[in-house]
Amino acid sequence: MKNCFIICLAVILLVTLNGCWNRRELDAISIVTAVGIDKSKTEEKIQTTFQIMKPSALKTSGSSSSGEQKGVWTLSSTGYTIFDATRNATMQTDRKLFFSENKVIVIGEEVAKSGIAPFLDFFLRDPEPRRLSWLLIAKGEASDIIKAKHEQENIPAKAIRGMIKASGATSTAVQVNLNDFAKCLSTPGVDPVACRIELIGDGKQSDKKMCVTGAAVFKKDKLVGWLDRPETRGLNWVLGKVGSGIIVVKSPKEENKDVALEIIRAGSKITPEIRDGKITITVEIHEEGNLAEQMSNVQLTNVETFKELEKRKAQVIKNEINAVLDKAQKEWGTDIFGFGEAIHRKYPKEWKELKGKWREEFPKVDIQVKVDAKLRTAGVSTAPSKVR
Amino acid sequence: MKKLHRTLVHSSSNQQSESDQDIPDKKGEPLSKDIKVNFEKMQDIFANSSDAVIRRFEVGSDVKIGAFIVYIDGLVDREIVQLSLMKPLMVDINPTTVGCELNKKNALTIIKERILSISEVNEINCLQDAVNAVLSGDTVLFLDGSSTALIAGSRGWEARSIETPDTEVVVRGSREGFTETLRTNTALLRRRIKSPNLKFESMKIGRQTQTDVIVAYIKGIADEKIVEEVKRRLSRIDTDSILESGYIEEYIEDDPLSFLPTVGNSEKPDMVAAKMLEGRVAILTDGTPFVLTVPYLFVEAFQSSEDYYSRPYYASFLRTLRYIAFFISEFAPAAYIALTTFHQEMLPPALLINMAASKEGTPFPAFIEAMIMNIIYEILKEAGVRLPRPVGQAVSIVGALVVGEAAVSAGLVGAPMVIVISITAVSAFVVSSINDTTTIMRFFYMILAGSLGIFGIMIGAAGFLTHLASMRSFGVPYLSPIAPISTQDMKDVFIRAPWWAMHTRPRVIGWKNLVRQKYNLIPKPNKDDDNK
Amino acid sequence: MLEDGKISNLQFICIFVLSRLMLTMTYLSYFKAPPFNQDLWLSALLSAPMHILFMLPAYFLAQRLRNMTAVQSAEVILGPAGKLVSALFVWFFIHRTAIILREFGEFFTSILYPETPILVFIGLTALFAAYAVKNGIETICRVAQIALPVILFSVLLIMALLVKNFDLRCVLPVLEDGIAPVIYGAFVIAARTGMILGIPMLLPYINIPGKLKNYLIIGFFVLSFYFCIIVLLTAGIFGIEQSKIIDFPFFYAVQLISVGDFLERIDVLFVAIWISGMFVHASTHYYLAVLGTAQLLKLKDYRPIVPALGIIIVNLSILQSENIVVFNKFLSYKVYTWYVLLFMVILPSFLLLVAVIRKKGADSR
Repeated sequence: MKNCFIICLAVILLVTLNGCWNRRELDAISIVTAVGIDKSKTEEKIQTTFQIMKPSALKTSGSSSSGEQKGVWTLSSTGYTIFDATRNATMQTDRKLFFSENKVIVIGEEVAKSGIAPFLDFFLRDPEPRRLSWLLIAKGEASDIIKAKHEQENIPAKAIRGMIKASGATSTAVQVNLNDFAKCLSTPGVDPVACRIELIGDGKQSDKKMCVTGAAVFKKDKLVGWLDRPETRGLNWVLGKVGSGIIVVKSPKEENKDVALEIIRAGSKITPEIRDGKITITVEIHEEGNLAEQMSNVQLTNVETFKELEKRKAQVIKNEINAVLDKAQKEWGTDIFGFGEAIHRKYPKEWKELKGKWREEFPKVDIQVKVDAKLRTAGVSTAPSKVR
Repeated sequence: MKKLHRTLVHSSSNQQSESDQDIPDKKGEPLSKDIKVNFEKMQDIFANSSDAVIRRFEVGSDVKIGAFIVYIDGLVDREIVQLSLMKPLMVDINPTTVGCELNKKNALTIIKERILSISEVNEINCLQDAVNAVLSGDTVLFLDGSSTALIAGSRGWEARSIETPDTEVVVRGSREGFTETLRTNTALLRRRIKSPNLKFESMKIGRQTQTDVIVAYIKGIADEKIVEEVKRRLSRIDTDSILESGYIEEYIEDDPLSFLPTVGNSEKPDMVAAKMLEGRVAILTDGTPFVLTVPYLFVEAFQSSEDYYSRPYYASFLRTLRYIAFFISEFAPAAYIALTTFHQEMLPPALLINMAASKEGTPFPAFIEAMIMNIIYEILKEAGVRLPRPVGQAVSIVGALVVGEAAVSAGLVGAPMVIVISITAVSAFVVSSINDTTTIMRFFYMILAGSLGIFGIMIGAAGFLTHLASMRSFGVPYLSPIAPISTQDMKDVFIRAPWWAMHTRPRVIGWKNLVRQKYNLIPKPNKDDDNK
Repeated sequence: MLEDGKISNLQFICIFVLSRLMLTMTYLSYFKAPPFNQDLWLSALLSAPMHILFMLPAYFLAQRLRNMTAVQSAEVILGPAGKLVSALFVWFFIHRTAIILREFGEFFTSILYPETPILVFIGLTALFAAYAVKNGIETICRVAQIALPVILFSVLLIMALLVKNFDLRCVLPVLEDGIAPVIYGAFVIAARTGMILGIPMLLPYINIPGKLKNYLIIGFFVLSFYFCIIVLLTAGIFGIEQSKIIDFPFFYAVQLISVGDFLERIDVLFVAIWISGMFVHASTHYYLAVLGTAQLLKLKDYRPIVPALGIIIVNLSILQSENIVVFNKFLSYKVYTWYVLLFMVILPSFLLLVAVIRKKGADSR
């Protein structure tokens, strides 16, 4: 009985007198929604920019909140490492930064060119940040992106997230989160890509809008170049990540008018083959789509035109793929398609030798692209309304 | 601690000897043949008891035999005493009706067999029995020249009639509830189980109160070992008073230090009858409508009598809902504390913003906030229960306004906290039979959550689960049939299977006579009809 | 008898499976062991036969002396010298308990509570486990019986929620380095199941000991199946290379669950469910340590030594290694496998051999 009492007392004391262990009240944390990483311009340090929520300004319920208030606050700090810079930021905030809600990591172009693996270690090692955070490479300074405003969303980071997700509608951007990036980074035979973000528009810096398009291409962990929108879709075709999108072709009957074809579903198959030491990779694309819009004034819903449209569509897809293959293979020599990994899966023995010299081998690989594009429906109105 | 215990034991034994002196120990003292001696003794015993009536009179027309009756006013039915006892003895008695001459020798037999028109008459020889009978509401008749007295069953006092119980309200099912009168209660049970196997074994407990306690069980279904164990534990009780079955409960519990009850109680005869039919033993106590049932299992807290009367789908849904409500009422405030002070990452972003915003206006940490609100709620609840009904309503209005509105707008607590506490409170009422346990455990979990977050809650819950698993009620594991698992009995735990599917009684309790119905009772259309 | 409770075969399997599964689900970095590649899931499947192989000496020893625990039978078989073997068994359970507590402590301090001293987790778990131990094996088994279905279901739920992140191509190429590393992997997986020594410790308390082997075999296959799920999920989500460098890989896989846009980071919820399993895991070994000690010292009741042993275990748990790197080095497959095998297979085999030669105990026929 006596022992029991002492134990109970000890437990109560143990659990109540713990002071500061890991306890953080909601009003003692700064919720970070986006992080930007740059090289400091003035000193040999890393500059991090944080976008921090202001809950009182963001509160949805209650009428008293003034709508004009800014929902976020951005601040920058410098340090020798990311974590150092993060802790240094607390000198400016009254609260400790809280990373679990952070879903956007933006890395400046300059940092990306010098290799980003060291900068990601903090986000992969610390238990707080999410592995599902989107990884974006800014064309320019990351801090500018973090500081940019968005008309619709109070939290610009939320807008970035929305833009990445919405990119599935055009498939002209890549959706890469930290986990995907780290996976590609550490797997031999794949080189990573990342989302690309830039500020567009003229005028003052503060009036510029954020825009998520294209992709940032890496070789190992160094940024080597950018993909524009068709090239990005080319990459997505190969990776089988095209969800939807519009392919514009010329009308078969009126060559100067355009026809928009909507992509409904698409898939890809990468088949490597090694014969007499020569590597051939066949990329097969299967695509299905609809006739969505036509600018011409001719009826297109007949068997021949459909065939012709399918052929033209296949050509466009092929061009997009060839464009990105050319750039990646010949210009940069980076295997962002995971062809190496595909060989590894099919020819594990041969891959053992190839692994070491894959980077030299890759530009020499013969890549065949086969596209099988189909049209299924033509919408509600089968013929254009005649202008009379 | 041991020392204290010894002194306690010592003092209690002292008390016992003192109190023995207080009560005139007349046990076994025979009655005298002389009516005067008996009269004086009775007068002596009931001195200063203004409700005791001792009435002297003479019996017979020719030979007068001295007699007196003793009863307690208010405990007897006056009509019985006057019309069936006094009148025959004093007015109707004469040789024609009696058939022979009355004298001191045969008076007792003749009166018992011919005169008293009362159904229940017994003979007694000793003084203590006479006193007990009087105190229980019977009338005792003493006759001159005989050392035997007659007890005439004349009990009849003002009692509450059978009403609908407040504690276990049902939409469908019997509305009768037990009353304070033991006999009524046994009758309510007997009316439901018309079997000679339904046994009522009676005993008296309480040195001063002499409370009648009845052990009820169905022979052939109940395990004799449990019946014997109940009787053994009941006979161990040696105390002054048993005023409510709650006293008994605490004396016969398996795990007296536990928060959880190992003895069930119910106010509803149909519920108790159903439990007895599963092999349980009921303990009826005079003076309270709450009947105890043992063994009591944890899952019984989630069973309601109505489950068995309504259709199985909805009943099963409600069962599941009750388990959910139990978890909510147990863990909601603790989980809120853990989420807002340790694991904010789990909150959806929109919710996090709102919670953080409402937190910014309040002065206390979430843990203190939760404590304040919980304690205020418990106070309000207690006030609402204890106060007379009209005032109680006022309390709840004030409570709703103060706690719900003012506290939030004054910035004392955040609005999410109020929601959490309200959900907790409402959920707690769903599983009302272990409400007191959940209330205490809730504070326990809140402390653990406030210091260690989800780890604290869960290690506490694991400890609590261990405690549950270690308990037994009259030899039956408390958590059965969940652990140790009994797949057949799971038909009546998280779901309630249709009646025709529950062939057997619960294996852990009714194992003596397992099969309760024929197999294959599922209703089917008659095949002959189809052929026509 | 020290313990008068009886447990059923099913209950024994519950504590057995929990004791092994919890480690894999929380602490263990299973990709840091052979075969070091995508064939680990094959090793996981092969671990069932490997388990059966490892179980044999302990099982036959237990069946030969059915009413005696391993600690007691060592003395009967070897005479006074058996005390030494008994003491080794007791040490094994004490050390295992200390290791288990340390693993949980490291798990929690690494993922959820970086600023809390590890003693809090070790101490609190040990305290509540002591309460369970005091209440005997029956209680522990009942808790296990409730916890196991919930935990098994939680893994299936995780699988369902993660299936969209899952890349099935992770299993290719199959048998990249041949079959040998895969078998070695199965060997390492099975060798971590120190609870096999629990069979001769608990067989006297099992109500129908004859049927235990059927249950054990089912248990091994359940374990294999779940190992396989866990390994595949991790590999499919992180890829092999990332899986190899992540500590607590399954936990981090759970962290990636994202249902819709609102239910994210529900890892805490799952860890909460797992705590009950870890608790059973710790209490079972704690109980075996206490039971073994009591039998070694020929005590009449094991309850009084529960707190004393608890203090020893907590201290051992903290002092055994100064940081997680040292601790992991001991736990790595190169060291720990052989350490466990010594107690789990070699000592029982030795006992069994001597028993057969000296004709001690009932013949299994």
